[in-house]
Amino acid sequence: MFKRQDRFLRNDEFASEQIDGTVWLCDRLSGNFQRLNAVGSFIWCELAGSGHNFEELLAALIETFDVEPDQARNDLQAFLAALIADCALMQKDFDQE
Amino acid sequence: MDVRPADNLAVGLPALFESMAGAVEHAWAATNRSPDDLPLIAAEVLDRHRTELTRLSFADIAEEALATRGPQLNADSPFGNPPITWLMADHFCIESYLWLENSTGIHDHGFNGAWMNLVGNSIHRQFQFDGAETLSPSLRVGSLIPINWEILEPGDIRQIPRGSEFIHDLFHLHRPTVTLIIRSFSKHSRDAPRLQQSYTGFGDCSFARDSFGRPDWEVLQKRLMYSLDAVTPDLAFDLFSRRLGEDSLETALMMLKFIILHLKPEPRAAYLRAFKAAYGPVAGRLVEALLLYRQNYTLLLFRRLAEDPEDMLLFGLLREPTDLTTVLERISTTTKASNPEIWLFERLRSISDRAQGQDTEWAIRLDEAALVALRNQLTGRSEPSGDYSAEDLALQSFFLSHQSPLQVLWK
Repeated sequence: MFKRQDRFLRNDEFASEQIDGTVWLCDRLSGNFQRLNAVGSFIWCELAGSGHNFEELLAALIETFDVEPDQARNDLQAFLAALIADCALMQKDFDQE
Repeated sequence: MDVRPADNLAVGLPALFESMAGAVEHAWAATNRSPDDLPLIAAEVLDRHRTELTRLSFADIAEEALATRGPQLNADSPFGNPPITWLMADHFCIESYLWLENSTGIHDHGFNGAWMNLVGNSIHRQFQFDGAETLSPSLRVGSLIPINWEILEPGDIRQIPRGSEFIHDLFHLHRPTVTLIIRSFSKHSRDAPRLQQSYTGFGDCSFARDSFGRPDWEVLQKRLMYSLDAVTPDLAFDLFSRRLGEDSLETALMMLKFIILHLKPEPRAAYLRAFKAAYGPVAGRLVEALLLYRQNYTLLLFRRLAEDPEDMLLFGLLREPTDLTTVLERISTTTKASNPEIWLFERLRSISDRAQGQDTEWAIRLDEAALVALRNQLTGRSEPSGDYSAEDLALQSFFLSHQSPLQVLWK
């Protein structure tokens, strides 16, 4: 489980392209490509620049998509965990800031 | 290319090389064999014999090489297929390199001399290496910048000054290409010992390393890692990861440089990330250098699809570091194509067509959508075409712009 203040940054080893609302990623180290779903694409775009913390991402998600807060929280947890496992995102613990 | 024996030398090759060696010996002795004078002397001797030398066919050279019984400087060296030592004097030697599959990596030299292309053309690139930071006695990280590009033809001569002021590589366009070199020979050389450096990467993500005289255990590590990855990849990665804490950055880098060429995508990323995590920010620059190195290595594999010297030229032009504008300019100047975009597109389409039946991971296979995206990129168009939407083509562009061998065309 992520903390509210945990911060997330894109890993610059990944190139990305948004095409017709969908984000595609390329892991430059492996050469593999992956396609993000609509929520994932939205979050990836939100993370451009200096990144956001969990709370900010959750608020943006609820504001943009017609989704219950608990569902949004679960979706966000799952998405962030998956992209961290793939190394596309880096997590900065609130405690380390 | 004429491959018939010529019988057109007034004297045989051994006598010609004896005569050239005598001229080098005489001129060099007059300078008290100053090492720095050899490049110019060697170039002048090659120039004086240019007419006879460029008249040689590949068959002449091969026939004489098979008959030679003289000592060989580096008979087992992979530099040349093979290297041929024609004459070994006390302080210098005359050699040829026969090139079939090999092109050179980027390197400088531990000797002085000069070389001439005898048979075939070569792309010759020169570089400078700036801002080097020493990571170990045999490893420096710095910035490798291209400073010259040219096509060498039979009879073209270039001097080789020892040291890092002359850093270059060669990509041979004809199969075979043959070069002739007059170079100092270290057995009795007055040159202070200096190991040849090889250079990897480009721009700020580059490193230079002593490439000769490496310890045997380094070879053992590389070969063992290759075998381990082939049969037990998980064990290979586990052992590599554990060595990261024990070995120097340089030792880990050399294992990685070797094995990265053979690893599948996911393990490749895992190895590179483990290396970065173990050795900090400088390892990030080294990883970028290895990625560029791998891209150029992949091009050497694609090169096997070449049917003629113009296909080879295309693969030579696609090597990093370059970009679309540079590639098109060089096509214009070297092929005289009135429309370099069309020349490039048709060559790639032809190579892709030929690759369709090839069951290898390095065969270029461009499907119809990729070809449309490629044509749009080369011509600067962005509108949809035929059955493909703008989104389809944007996706194809994204794929192509991050894959060897065409990624440079999106720069």
